Amino acid sequence: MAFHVMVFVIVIVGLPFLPAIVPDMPTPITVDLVTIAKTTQTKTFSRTPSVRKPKPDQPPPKHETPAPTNMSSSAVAPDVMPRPQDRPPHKTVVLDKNKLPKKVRKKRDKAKVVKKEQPQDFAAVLRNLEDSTPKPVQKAGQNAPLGERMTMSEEDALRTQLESCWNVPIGAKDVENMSVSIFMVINRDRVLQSARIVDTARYNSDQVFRAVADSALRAVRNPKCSPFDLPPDKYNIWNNTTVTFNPKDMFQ
Amino acid sequence: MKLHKGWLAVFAVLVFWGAGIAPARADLHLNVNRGTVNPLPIAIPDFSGSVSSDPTLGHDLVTVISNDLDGSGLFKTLDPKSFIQQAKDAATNPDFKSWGTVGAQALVTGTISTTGGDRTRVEFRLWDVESQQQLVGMAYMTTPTNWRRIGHIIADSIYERITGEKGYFDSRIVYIAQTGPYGERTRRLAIMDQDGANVHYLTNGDAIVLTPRFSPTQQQITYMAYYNHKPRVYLYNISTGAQQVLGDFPNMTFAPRFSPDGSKVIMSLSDNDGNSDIYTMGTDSHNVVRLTHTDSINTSPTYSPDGKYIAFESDRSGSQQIYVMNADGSGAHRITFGSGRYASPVWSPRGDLIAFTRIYKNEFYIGVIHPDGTGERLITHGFDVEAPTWSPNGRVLCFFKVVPTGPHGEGRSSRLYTIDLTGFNEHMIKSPTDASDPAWSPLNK
Repeated sequence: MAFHVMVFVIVIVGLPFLPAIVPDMPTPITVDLVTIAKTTQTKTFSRTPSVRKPKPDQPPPKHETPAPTNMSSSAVAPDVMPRPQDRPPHKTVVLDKNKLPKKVRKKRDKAKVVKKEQPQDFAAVLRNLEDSTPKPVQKAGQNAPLGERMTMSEEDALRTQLESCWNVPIGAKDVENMSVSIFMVINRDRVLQSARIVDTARYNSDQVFRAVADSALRAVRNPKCSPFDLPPDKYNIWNNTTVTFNPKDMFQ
Repeated sequence: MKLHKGWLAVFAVLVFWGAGIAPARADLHLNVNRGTVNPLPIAIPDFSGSVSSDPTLGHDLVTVISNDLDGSGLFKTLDPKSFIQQAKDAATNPDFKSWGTVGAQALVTGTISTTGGDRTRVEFRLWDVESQQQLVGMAYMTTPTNWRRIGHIIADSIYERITGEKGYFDSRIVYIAQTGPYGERTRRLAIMDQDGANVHYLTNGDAIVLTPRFSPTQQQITYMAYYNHKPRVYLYNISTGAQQVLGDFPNMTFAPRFSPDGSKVIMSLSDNDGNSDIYTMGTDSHNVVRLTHTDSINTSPTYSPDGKYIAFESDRSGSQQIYVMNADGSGAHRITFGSGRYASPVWSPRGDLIAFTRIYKNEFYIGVIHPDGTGERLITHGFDVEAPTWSPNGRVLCFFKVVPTGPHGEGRSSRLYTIDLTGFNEHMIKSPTDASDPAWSPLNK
């Protein structure tokens, strides 16, 4: 009996560790599965083509403008250089949401509803009088993991929402090559809990990157984009979300 | 005992296998590759406090800052009537929720006071409304009459922190002020703040002055004036008023430009056959070096900000185009191939673009192009638009625009304009007289 038990144990414990004969397998072909919902859930944001009109002339400076006088190569009095003094101490004030006066809260709620700014179609943000034909927009890549996942239309919904909240600092040198990742923790009610910049080292050393990163943070914190347009039943997927902001499509 | 250990091993194997096949935690990764381009809404309540010499200083400072930021096209200052929190309260304890309610994404608060006798102390802070974090906090002390500069410096600081680029508001523009009837204009050298304030005249109009250029390193300009009907180039120190003759150049048509380090100037001189070539000359040594040797017109040279390259216009290929060559004159190659004629290249201080004037189908255009010849864009046009000059941060172009006047278009009016390099936000700089040939200074020091 003991012998039989021993043989049984050896079979159970030992078999998994026996060297397996691995047959030659063909090179696997990676297929990125994409889940598509039956109906699209992308919200339709009206994209009003808009050309920025030149701003009206600046009001005339209030300060004195000397009348033309006859001067013979007279010197201009040098300006006195102001001296940067002590930097005021860093001061952050955190106010309790509940302490906000009712009047203000009401106004804020109202502002959320009324102040719907229309996102603009800036397919070509750099004006060219010779050729202003907008180029087609490329879609961002699909990076969801296998298994339970967001559908394309669900991702598009969030993407479209964030696009409408991201005010890009266009015109900065090489801004089209800036890529800023923001890691977000989102509450079950689809409201942002926290957001942080992934590449903090570059944030502290590159001014243009910092400006783009700040604009991306403002986008995810923008009240217009709260709550996020996400499917409530997929909280486990979007609880931790990383959004990479890169304005490259605006330069095509 | 052995049996017990065996079952433990089985359990352990099953646990590890189970862990291996369990689904990984699913995080969402998303790319956002476009956004909007809107001016950043910013609230700037009047600076609190007061100085006895100027009771409205707190308001006047905010007006200068607001005009600078609004004029850039990248900011939209909010109407103070919409503010919920009082300015004096905001200066000590900003209620960010109320500023968010009025739509502000950034908030500027400040205080002014008198200190050390007649000195004025101005303190300001820039806040991010959503994160409730201070982004910048600075204090300045100056004489009361210098308050406009403080406003420009604060605007520069806000601009730099929000856009990631250096500002350009604390700078000046030198230009040719024109008065009198068309065809008999009196032309004087003039200088003003970039917003059109504080106009001063540097010459009295006795001589015709042309094409002033700013030194990139100091408050010094070169300009050309006809002295006894001969073109003469002057060096003018704006800080001291000292002026010296750089030389008489009978065959010169444009004033020279400075090299990036200010140690020499670059210019074109014509010969008796109507051709012209490019030369450099040391500002102190007056040592002249010839850089081009072709039987064609080579003119309007401009250095790249690193001093390694020179852009210039040339008709060596049969039409007027822009070329780039090494600083020693070697390796010249053409970078423009569009229809029409290209002229007046000016290299951006940040190095990524060259501005130019293009004449095409009887219209004038101002355009920009990368130094490798890619990405040409025409950003404004008109009856006559010329002489682009870059703001010190390379973000904005200033140029002059001539329009016909009079019932039959027989007259001419000329004014200075600025435009963002994106091609938007063009607006005129107010000046007391007609103006042309602008040259933008580096940031004041």
